[in-house]
Amino acid sequence: MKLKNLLVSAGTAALLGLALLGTSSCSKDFIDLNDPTRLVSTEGYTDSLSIVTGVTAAYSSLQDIYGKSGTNRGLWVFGEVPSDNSYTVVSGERLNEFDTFGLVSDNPRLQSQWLYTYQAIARCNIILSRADAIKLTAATRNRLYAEVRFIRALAYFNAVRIWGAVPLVTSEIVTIADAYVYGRQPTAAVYAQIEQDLTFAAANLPATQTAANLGRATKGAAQGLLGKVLLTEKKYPEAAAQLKLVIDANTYALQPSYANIFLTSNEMNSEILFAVRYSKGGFGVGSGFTNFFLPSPLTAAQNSSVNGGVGTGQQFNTVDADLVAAFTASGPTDVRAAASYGNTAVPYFTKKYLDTPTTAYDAENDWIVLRYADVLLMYAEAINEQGAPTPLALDALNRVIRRSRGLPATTAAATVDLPATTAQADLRTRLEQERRLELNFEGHRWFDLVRTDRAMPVMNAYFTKAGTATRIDAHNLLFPLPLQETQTNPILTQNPGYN
Amino acid sequence: MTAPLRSARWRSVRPLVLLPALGLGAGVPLLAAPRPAAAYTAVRADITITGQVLDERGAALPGVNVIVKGTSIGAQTDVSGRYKIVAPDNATLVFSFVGYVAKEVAVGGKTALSVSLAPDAAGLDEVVVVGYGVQEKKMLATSISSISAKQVELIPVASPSEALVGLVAGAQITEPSGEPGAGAVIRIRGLGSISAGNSPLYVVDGYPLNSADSYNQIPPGDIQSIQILKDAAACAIYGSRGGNGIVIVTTKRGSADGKTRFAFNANAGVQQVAKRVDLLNRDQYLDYLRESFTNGNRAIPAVLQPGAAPLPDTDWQDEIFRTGTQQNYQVSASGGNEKSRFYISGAYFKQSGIVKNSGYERFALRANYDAQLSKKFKLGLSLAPNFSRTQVQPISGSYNGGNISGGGPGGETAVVTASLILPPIVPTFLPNGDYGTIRNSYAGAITNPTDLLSPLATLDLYQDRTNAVRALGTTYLDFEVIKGLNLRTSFGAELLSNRRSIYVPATLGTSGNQNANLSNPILGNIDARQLNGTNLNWVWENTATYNRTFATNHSLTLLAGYSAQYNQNEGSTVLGQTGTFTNTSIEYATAAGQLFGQANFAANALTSIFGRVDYAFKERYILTAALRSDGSSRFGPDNRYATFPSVALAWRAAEEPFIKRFSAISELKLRASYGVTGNNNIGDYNYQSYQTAANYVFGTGTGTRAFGFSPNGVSVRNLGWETNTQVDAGFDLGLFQDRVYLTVAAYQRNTTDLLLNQNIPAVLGYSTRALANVGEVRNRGLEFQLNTANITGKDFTWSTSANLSINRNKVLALAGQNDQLFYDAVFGYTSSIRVVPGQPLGTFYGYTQEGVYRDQNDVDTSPKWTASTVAPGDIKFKDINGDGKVDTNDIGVIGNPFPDFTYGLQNTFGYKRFSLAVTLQGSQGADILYGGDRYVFNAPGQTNGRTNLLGRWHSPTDPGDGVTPRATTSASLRTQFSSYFLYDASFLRVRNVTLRYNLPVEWAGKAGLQTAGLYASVQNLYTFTKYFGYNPEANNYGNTTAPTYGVDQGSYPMARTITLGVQVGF
Repeated sequence: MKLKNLLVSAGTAALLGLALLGTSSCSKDFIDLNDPTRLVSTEGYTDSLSIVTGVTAAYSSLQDIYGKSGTNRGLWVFGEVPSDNSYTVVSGERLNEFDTFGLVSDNPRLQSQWLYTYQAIARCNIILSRADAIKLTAATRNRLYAEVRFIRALAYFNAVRIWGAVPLVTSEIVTIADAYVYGRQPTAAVYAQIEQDLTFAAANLPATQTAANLGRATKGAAQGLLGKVLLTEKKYPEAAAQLKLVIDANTYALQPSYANIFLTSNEMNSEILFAVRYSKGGFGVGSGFTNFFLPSPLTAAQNSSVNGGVGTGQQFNTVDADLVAAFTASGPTDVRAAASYGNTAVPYFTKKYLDTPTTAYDAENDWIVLRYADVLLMYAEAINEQGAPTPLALDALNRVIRRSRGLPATTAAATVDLPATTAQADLRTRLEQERRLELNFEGHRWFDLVRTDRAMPVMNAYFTKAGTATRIDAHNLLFPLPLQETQTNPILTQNPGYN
Repeated sequence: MTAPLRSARWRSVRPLVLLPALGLGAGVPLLAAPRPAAAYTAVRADITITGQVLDERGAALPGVNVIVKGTSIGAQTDVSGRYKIVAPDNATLVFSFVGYVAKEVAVGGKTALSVSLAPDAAGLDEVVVVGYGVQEKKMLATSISSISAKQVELIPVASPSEALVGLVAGAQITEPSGEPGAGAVIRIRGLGSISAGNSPLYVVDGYPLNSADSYNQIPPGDIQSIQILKDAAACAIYGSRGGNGIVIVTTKRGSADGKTRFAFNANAGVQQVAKRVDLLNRDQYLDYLRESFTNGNRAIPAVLQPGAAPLPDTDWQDEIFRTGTQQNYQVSASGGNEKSRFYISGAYFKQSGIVKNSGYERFALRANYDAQLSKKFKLGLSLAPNFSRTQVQPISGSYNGGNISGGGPGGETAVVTASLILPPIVPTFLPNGDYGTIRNSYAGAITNPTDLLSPLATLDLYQDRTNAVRALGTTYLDFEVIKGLNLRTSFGAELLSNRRSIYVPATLGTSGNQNANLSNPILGNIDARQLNGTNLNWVWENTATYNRTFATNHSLTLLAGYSAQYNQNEGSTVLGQTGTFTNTSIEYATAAGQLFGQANFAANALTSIFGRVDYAFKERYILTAALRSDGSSRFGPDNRYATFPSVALAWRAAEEPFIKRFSAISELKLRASYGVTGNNNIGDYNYQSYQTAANYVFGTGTGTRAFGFSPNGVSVRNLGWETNTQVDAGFDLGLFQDRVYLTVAAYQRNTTDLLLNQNIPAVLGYSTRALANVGEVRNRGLEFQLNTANITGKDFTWSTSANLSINRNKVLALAGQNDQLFYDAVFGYTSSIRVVPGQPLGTFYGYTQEGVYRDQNDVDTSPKWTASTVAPGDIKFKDINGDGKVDTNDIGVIGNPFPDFTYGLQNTFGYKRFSLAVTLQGSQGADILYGGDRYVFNAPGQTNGRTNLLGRWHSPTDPGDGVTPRATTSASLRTQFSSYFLYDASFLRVRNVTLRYNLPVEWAGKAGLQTAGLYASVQNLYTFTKYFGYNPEANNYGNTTAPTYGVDQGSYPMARTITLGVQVGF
């Protein structure tokens, strides 16, 4: 009987106890589960080691902006395809809308470029919002901040050139609801932010990076980019001053051979201020430009010589006969022609991104964002636009011209050098031509035309010459915002002329 | 034999007892049990009465409760149906047994009293297992269908879900594939979810399973009953898991009569392809092929010219199908006494599929044990270990990338798809012993598609076997605190361990290495993988049940409980890197020079509190209200707890005096319910955001990879369950002592808060879409269940059970205003299935075929396809928008994969010792997409086709059937998805016919047996349908969560299974 009583009371106690236990506070922990195989994002970037991976991720988003297989076609869709340098043949990708200015706002390329732009910005903002709480030396912290502010500035600079006024996000957004408050800000505000970021970056970045860190932003890259930003804003004296800092620092130099600039065996060479870096080998960080740009189909001989027969060409971004004609006009001594395009008849293809990929869309080629020749040309432009060329400005241009003729860049060459008497207008014309030829297929042409207010006359002349009915007007100078964005958040207004 | 039986009504159901309400056991009128009669008086002289209880066919009925009316004195019949009881000589004996109408017989001084019981069509005295308790069927206020062991035990199928086909109103139970080991798909009251799944919750002996497959692995012979809980009021007790309905399975348990019973059931038989697809034979095909070449302006190759050497005439269906075998053995022992009861069974099932080298095999054990530890304490234990082996093949889908159950390597030839399109002129084997394919048998002559390889090679060489070990174990302890109040704690665990081994040998041609063959092994073709997975799930539940009848007329049951459940899934895959295999003799991943691997882990946890009130007044007015609150690790932290209320009311009008005047009406119950349930299958960790790899390149030279990490989003802190709100109303009508019993229910089920990707501003910086609870789907329906006992003669009986279900599904809203979801039914039919507000889920979208362009004049004067030229004999699409041309603007709704209604009809005939059960199953009005013809048109005129091609357009003067287009090798608009590829999937299937003969008890006794029966059964005897395919219910996507239904592209055919069986008890 005793045992039975004991059993009864023990049983009651046990059952009641269990029931109470169950409903008590421990149940809260019981259902608070996180995936042990992954790090919860709010717990990321808590120490000096993990914050570095966040900065790497910010760099990584530049691959998405400039072009990566599987995510985004790249900035060339905006910088090259609309221009007279390039055409596209693949209508299924809707790249033709960029080529022929028939853009409809639901074009998926708009959406992906927008997304990856803000992804880069978000990755930078997270660093800037979280690193304050981490124990770091002031120097390290400032260097990390400088790197991500450089990346953020680059992302905004591309965005403001593509869309004009864009939402300005400068700190981490932590809930979806918070994302709805960001409407478009005036371009002046965006440019002000870019200038601030680049000024900070220029002040806090090292002049050069160590071998292992090659590819990270440098002081020169920040100054050069700031020069370009200021030039775009038509702030010519300030632009010239920044660009002169780069030239005077003597950190960078023109490569003796134009063709060598683009070799995968010569990445991050003396001419490169900043490049988006890629590496093949099946690691998910390769570049797709080889396959993106090659014509389709290639002859068997071409196939094996230009891309090793790996993957097919997509002909997304094809050298236009008009560019070939420009090279022809530049004369047979222009060594850049042979280095720039392949084939002797349509379809010509750019040779700046040739490589044998590991697998399709996994090639080595970096995307050069800013190189020294660009700096020299911009410097000449910034001076010239202030009234008239100076000897320094002419020398900057002449160096680029000399190299284009296979001559030593720094040795005066009377046969090709522009005379000191060159008039402002002539230099303007010459700069436009040299920039086109020198920087072809590097994503600059369209933005150059817009910056110099030459897009409408040049493009309409080009269309007239090509015999197409297409004409552009002022609204074409900006691209439409992605339809999904304006639909999702109605405070985002569409650019004029689009819906 | 005499035992103090306290509650005969409940005794009979004690085998079901798992649940606290029944744990009371002793002496308490449960729930709304009959009111105890006034204490009897004037006990007269007791006499001993003996007799035998027989069923309607004269077979002994063991386990019948015999009770002296008005007392707690009772006995049970033994295996030969005999009983012995001591009772006053003026007493009345009540004989009752589940599934039979109870009978009262006055003793009148007789000492020998034999009775026969008639089956109860309505089964009102049955108890129905509801979540965490039981309820008498007549006292139910909710919509629950109940299936008893008798209805399913002899059906020769592998899984209980297959046995349910055609039996349940309100549940669509389909077999989209005949593949061995693949169970039927159960959908209760339509489909509400787009991405979180539509599978019901399965509860086995009180244990809510994590893996629906664990349900399918239960041998049907172990099952005592299955209840299908349909309305939200019934399901709300399972809260966030009850949204898609609940299937409750109760397994057999021992009885307490002191006898040990053994039962043996064996059946074995053959399986054949129930129906084949009629394909062109060699000569028909050659005609067709030559015409294709001619119409395509191509020269007919010499090898195909009339007069060339005779070509083979291979019937590829013959090559891949075989006569399969099926065996099923089960032996069980059960018994017990007042102190302890047990049921132990062992079962073996083996099915060699009708497609060569596919098959399924299962060993299952079950031990159910219940012990009365003391007067107050009860303990129970159930263990059900199970081992299965499945061999699968690439069956359906794209011919050069077949679907393999559970996923697998890509690029394997889908055997059924390929056998339907591989030309008959391809030989099975070449003279050198290689497998014949288009590319190696007629080089150049038949060029397309060259990657259509030999299905026979796949069947012979592809290896894919899964060994699964499952164990379900549960235990409970029940404590009766005071009379009517029981506390109960139960703990159970479900363990599933899978090991799958895949090997693609060097000699098997695949789309990556099409030339691989027996004489040409290619090392780079080898694909070897080992996949391992372990799933552990445990549940701990505590309940308190209080049960009383007050003042005679008020009966009340209160339930309160707490439960915790945890689930953990862990797996790994090891595979050899393609191209690094060094030999053909080791058929394992280790033959590779380089091994790769993956690992995964996921877990979820659920805590809940729940309660229910059941109240009945005079057994007339019934109220059931339930509430459950679930906290789930899957829900976002701001939305972690979900509460699901429900209420149901019923009025048993038949008990009212003014209805009782109509003697024909034996039952009339009106009921209505409202409830909210959820679907928590939103994936583990989905609300959370994680750091994901975002790598970059730094360094000199070409640079080296630097590892970066970045958040993949922001957490969706309010992510939660999908919500089902359902109203249900219905009535039960019993006539002539329930010989006719009709149940009608109407419901509306609205699923809101669907788990969908919603557009978000990309300035957030992660993606353009994020998971959110948005969107709405509505299901409305009517269901009818009619049970009749048509003839209840002494020698001849006939009863019928019929059901009819109508469900209408409609998407009301999606994530965004203009949102649509697109799916490709099969490769090439892009966006042919869409989810569009205003339409049913998974509606077919395409062009509407008007006919075939009869002649050039017809082409010239009719709207035309704009994207390519159109010739006489091409399919003529309808110009829907009337703009004079046919283009993408003319794509519209062309079909609905859901039937207008489904029905089932089960007739059971008894004549003396014979019984015959015939189950029919039908479905009306659904559309099915046949994806096999895509290849006939896509590889123009060069694959084989169905005999419908004989009705093709030949010329303006011989335009054929007006539907089938011309044969041509030219590309044409025939490849566009249109209504041409949709067919009416209506069917009526003779699902099961079982003829059984019970040996007379005396004969059995001579053989040392107590009962013995022989039976023959045919499963899927015949299907009446206009659909030419193997199975009008086919769906490539089976049990997938995606809203893709009614897609047939080389489905595994249905088997016709003929078995003979024997069932003995001793």
